[in-house]
Amino acid sequence: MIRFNDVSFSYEHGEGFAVQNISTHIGRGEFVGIIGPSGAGKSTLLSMINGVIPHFHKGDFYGEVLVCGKDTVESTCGEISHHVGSVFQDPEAQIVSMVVEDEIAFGLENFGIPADEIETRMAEALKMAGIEHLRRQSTTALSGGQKQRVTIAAAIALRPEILVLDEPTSQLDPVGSRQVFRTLKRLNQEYGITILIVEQKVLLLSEFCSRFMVMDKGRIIMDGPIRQVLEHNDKLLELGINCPRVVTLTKLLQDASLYSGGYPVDVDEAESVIRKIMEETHDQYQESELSVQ
Amino acid sequence: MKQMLGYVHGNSVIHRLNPLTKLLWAVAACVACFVSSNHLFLLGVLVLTVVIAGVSGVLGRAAGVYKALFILGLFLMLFQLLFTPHGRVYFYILPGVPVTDMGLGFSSLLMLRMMAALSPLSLMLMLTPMNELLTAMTHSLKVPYRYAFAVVTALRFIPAFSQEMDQIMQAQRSRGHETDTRNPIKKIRVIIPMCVPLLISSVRKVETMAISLETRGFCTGPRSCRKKLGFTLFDLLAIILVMAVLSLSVIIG
Repeated sequence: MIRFNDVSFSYEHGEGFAVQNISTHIGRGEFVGIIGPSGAGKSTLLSMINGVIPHFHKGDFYGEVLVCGKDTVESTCGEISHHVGSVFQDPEAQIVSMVVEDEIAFGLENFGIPADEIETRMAEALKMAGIEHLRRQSTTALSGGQKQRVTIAAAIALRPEILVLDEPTSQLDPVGSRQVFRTLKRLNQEYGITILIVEQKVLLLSEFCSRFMVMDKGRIIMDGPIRQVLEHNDKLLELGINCPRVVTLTKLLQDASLYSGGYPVDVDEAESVIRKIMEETHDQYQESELSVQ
Repeated sequence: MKQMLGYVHGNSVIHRLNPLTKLLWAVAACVACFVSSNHLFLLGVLVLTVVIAGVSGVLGRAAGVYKALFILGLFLMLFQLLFTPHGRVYFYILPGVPVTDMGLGFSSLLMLRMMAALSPLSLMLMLTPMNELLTAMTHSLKVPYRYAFAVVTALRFIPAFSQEMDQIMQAQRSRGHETDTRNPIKKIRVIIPMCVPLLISSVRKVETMAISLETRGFCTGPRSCRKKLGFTLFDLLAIILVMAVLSLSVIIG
């Protein structure tokens, strides 16, 4: 679906490479979380997928990026936007219309889609993003979470195969963030949309994503299924990435040689792990008591 | 500013008129007010806009606009009154500054003209959704989409910027920056530390928006339109009324 072949890029007025020697492949239906310290090249990586690089931000581009089999340098931004939907950090600045339904119709009208089809696609996108009730609302009166879901709806109305999101929950509270992630999960599972998301909230990512990419200084330094990446939590901590607390706890248990299995990713799994350890140690404790007697 | 330009949702006869009809009314009323120099005619136009506002249920919002226009008009009237020494003198307001019948007639005409010419425009913006205006401009008047979009977007960003300005003002105030002063020269100096952050954040917002447009196929090919904007019998009636007002202005003079 998306393939990077030894890609490096430096911005026109920037110093050095923003990303360097990136080679990776992202398959259909994957839900990829990208983490890393600021300045690691996460946003640059996303901008290469939706064509903003090299068509909007200029610079030196090496290697090739293939999206749905097409080279992004040779296609225009408009052509790429048929395949890739984009959502950015600041929902306020992305919304161009005064009313929610106009905002969603905006991209469809740009593509010259006939009026009756716009209607069906709009209804579909509103439903997918779970904001049917906001349809006729003014965009200025919405909350941050609602605005962000409007931008997601506007992106998916174009029926993209890929959705790239650059810190879409940075301005949202925990409840709003979770809502956005649930929406994304549904889009991923029910509609098979491939999702790439840059996000600081590691706990949310580990709960919803299937694959982690860790970036530092323009390179991908770790890439794999969540559990596998989380096992290197000491490395993550070095980069200043906070691991979910359940992972830190498991690490402590491992260091005390009480546990040696895989990493739990949420509280429920952690609970069962700890219960098991408690039962085992309880048995051992009783045994040792007996032997003393 | 925000109140004078915002669309007020509704479903009245006026709301459902073709945006072109409303645009025609706003422009024609404005022209008529400058053609005619008859107090009664101008007052008539003003009353007509009040009636339209009443019919479409936006009288409350329109009242704010009328009030603002009235205050502005009062200033204009005062200046015009003091600087017109011709005609029969009623009395002297200051030594050497007379109030004359010509001055009074002229200044009241100016005030009425300004109110009557501007209120239809602001009313039109209140009663027409932005996107319909955009469609009418691009499809019927053949204004290039890029330009029409720029105009509408400028209007869309007014509330966003005023919100941003509020935030910056509060941030500067919380750091001990004084914002309240009556001295106009000081006022300018006080405003500069707020304009710079506003400018920077606006440029950043505009860049994000440009990227957002780019990734949604802005100006990539022929555009389609979601809503069909037809002309109805009411549009015909409204156009006849507009023409009547326009010809009346020429006849009365």
